[in-house]
Amino acid sequence: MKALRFYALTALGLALFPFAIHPIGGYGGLATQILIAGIASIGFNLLLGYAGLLSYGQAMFYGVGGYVALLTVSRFFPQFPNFWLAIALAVAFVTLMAFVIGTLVVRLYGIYFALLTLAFAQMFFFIVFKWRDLTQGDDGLQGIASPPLALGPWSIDLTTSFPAFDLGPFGNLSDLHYWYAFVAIVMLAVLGFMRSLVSSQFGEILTAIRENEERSALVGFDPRRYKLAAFVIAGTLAGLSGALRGLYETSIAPDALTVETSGNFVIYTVIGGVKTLFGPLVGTGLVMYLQNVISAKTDAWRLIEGILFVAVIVFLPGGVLGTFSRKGARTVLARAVRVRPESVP
Amino acid sequence: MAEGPLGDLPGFRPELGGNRFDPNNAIFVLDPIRDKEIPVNVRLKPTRGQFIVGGLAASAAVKFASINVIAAPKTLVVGLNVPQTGPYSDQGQDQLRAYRLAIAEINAKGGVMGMQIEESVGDDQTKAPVAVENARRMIERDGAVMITGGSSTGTAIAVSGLCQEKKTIFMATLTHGDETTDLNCHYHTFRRYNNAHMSAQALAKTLLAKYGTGRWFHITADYAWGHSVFDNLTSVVEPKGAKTIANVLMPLGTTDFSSALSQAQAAKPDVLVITEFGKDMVNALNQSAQFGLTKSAKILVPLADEYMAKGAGDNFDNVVTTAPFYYKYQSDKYPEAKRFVDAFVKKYNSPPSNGAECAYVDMYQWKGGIERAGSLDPKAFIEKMEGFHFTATKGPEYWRAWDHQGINTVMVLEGVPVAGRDDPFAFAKVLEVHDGDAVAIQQSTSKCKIEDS
Repeated sequence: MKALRFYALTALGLALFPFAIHPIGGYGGLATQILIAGIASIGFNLLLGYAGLLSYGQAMFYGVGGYVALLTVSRFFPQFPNFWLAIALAVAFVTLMAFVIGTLVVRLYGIYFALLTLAFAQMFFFIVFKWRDLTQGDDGLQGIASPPLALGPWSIDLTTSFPAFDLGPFGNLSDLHYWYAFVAIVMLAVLGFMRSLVSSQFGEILTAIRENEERSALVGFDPRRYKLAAFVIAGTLAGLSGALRGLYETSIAPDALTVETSGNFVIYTVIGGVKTLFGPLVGTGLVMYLQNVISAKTDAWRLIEGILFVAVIVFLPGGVLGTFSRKGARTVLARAVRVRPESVP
Repeated sequence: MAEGPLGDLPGFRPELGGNRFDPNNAIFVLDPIRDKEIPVNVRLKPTRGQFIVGGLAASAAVKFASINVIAAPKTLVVGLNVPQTGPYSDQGQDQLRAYRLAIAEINAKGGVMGMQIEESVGDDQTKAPVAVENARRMIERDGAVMITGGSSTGTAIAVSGLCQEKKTIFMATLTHGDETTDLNCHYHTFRRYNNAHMSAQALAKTLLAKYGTGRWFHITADYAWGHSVFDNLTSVVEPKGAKTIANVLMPLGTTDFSSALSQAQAAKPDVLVITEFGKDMVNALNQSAQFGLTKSAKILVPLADEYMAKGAGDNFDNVVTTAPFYYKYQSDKYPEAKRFVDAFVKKYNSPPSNGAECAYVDMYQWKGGIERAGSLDPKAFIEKMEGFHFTATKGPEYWRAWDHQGINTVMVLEGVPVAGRDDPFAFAKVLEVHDGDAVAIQQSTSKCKIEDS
């Protein structure tokens, strides 16, 4: 019953989201981008919030996912462009990559872990930047049209708009492309997966390891294996997010693998609230909204963005969702999505 | 014909065949949903059958403003997508000033076909993904009918791809790499700025006369534009005997060039080519001076503008470069250039850089194309632009039909020391002015295969 309520409310929220942001300057494309980036943030939250590992290398999974997906379409299988194949290859490659890198980095703690993930991310950045023949260097892969989404007998062009239907101040239904619907379904699945994951034994053990690794090891759980699993899941979701982003934008550039991109996922998650299911998604939405909408209004948008970050971190240390739920001023949404008793940070 | 519900309406013009929106004769009706007045024209072919059906429909349309009419906005949104932060921000901000000057002038004179221009601005940060995101926002949310801007070939080709997908006009402004109208040319994209091929060909004579054929060391921006300039320069000087000893690629936004410059110092080249732009070029050139390279080697900067020369100060003395426009030169020769430069100086208290000039002319070219087409339909616009000859700030020029490259003059300039500048931007003397056709890429060697729509 609780699960049903969760899925129903989340689906409703996702359906209303693009229209809700319309009066404040949002638009269909932005909503789609927020959900796509949100997938990576939600994955990252498992790492930072539950396993307590601050990775500064999520951009490598995100970026490589995007490159593999677009290269699958344009270079590896140009005669057989398939949407699912692009996603599957990207996710498989990134999962393998996360497994190999994860094996090496989960031995480390704190700042050493962060720096080593950063070092790996920089390594992949330079590989992508310098491998001009494959990646076209700084220019990136441009104008690679996404193949249609094959779904049984149907072949759906995701760039198609919904039929026109005026919604007054909330825009028009035709502002949205099928892309949004597709990404919203993926998001719902990711949220559902994450919800059951963190409330499962796996999630509990991960939290236990974060709180006291020695004690967890002594009762018989191998911390490295759990941390590796969290690292791989976070990496895979970042790769999925990158692949979707690449196919959606029809382009990808090495910027996707920079430290800045890695930092963005940290910021999204922290602003939204670590250890909350919806926090990373809310944080992603808030920050991307600011970047996108404020930058069009004023040249000083970086300043405004900076002041807001500082304000959130000083006054809302638990992140936007985290703070509200702790203070008891819980929204319906937060109550519906809380997956386990709060632990004191 | 004048009888009945339609004949009484001021906006109904059967002689137009109903195919064209005519803002001067639009009827303004209240759109009940948006709660504001929108201009509409009744779109009808006035044959008898359609007349009756359409008459009913149009009556309904006047009431509900939704059926069988073309609703056009009172304003036209154009997307100004330029870097306001990052290494090319000086250029981006100057383009923005020029766009705003042109828009203010056009709006003051009644707008485009009676519609006022409204801007939607984005800071592309000289990053392709950000530029694409901005352009998408401008088109999808703000309903921009034209995107313009770009201070980098990297961002220009990315936005060009999106605009092709969205069937939206893209007036690429400050992009100098060949790709924009060569390998990555698109039907909806026009570029008036000179390209690297034109610059290199224009430089050819000076290169050999002034720089000779010795040992050439290149420091090149590591993206589309830098590669394009390097390829073009070497293809001009290498056949004559110049030897390229190294090409050190530096990422866009590099601030410390010491690794490249210490290599250059060790290599003792005769010529140091700095293919960098914006603040990157200023840093690279000023650091070259610290390494003593401005004394030991001849410096070539293939493309420069007023802001870069100002930032480099005396280090720009005697440096040869190219530019499509130099306010000192053209404003003495062409009245339209003088009018533009005076208006710009009056409004902003500093002369326009060459990117600003291109931005200004691009805005007017777009307006002209729309008005000649009499429609906002991109296809009609493009048909009116292809092969169009005009004279603006640089004498006679035209838009080439097969690659949408603007064909206009290329200037070879030589830097003068700060003491010899009568204002901080008057950085150079003009060595040569080349006719665009003589130096442009020819169709037989071009990689451009433009789409049909």
